[in-house]
Amino acid sequence: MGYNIGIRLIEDFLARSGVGRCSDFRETAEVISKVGFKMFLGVSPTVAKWSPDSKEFSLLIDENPLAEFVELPDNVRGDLFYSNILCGVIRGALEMVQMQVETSFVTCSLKGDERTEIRVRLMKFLDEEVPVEDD
Amino acid sequence: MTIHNLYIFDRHGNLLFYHEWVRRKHTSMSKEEEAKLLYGMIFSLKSFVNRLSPTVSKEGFLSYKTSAYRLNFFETVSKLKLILNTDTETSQSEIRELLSGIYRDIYVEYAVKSPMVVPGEVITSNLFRTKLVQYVQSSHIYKAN
Repeated sequence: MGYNIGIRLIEDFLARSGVGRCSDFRETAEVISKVGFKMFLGVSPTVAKWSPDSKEFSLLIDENPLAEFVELPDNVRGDLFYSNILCGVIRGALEMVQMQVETSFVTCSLKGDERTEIRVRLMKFLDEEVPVEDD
Repeated sequence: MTIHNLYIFDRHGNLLFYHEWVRRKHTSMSKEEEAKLLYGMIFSLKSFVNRLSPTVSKEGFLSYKTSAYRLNFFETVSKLKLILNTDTETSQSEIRELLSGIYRDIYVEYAVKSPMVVPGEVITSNLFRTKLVQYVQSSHIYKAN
């Protein structure tokens, strides 16, 4: 669900923010947190916990607006990542700008952790498709 | 400025949208063939232009001009391509503004945000077409004839 949102959201984001192509993955991370999240959710997560090869980072969100008035019922508390939609959005949006990433939840404030953390890992850059000749 | 026609291609080369304002000469091929030819040419031109460029630059291919018309090219970070054929007189910076305005105010508003528009398929929405034509025709550089 988040993936489908992400592939459309990226166009809205690019049109409104006017940012150009990011030169590397670190810049991408900064743009996601400072511009993207700010524009759509009004919060600006911290980018942290970079892996040594600069291919993985975490987004630390202190106040998750999606979860502001939410309480999880007991029977799903152990299993449900309520804001998993955010992972899909990030994955879809980045795929539209030629980056294939894997996203996952590390901690979630609804489960009792103090803040929400999403881990993003760059799998590879996607290359431009060559149009097929068929004559 | 006379606007001749507009093509919109997605990141895979599919023609999403075509509109014609003033076109006096048509090619003998079908619209799909013409679109494929155009996309292939633009793709090759972009690659060629980047390779031969004497300086490092972000943008690359922007337009080409013939004695009869100018082809203007606008590509977004998400690889959506807008190709607009106009006459040779109008200033390029105004055309780029028009194209980025089409992207921001028409495509994002009426195509991306529309649940009826499927990514990768031709945009059949009449609202999109109407709004696009309205936007272009109300631009201060448009000349009706």
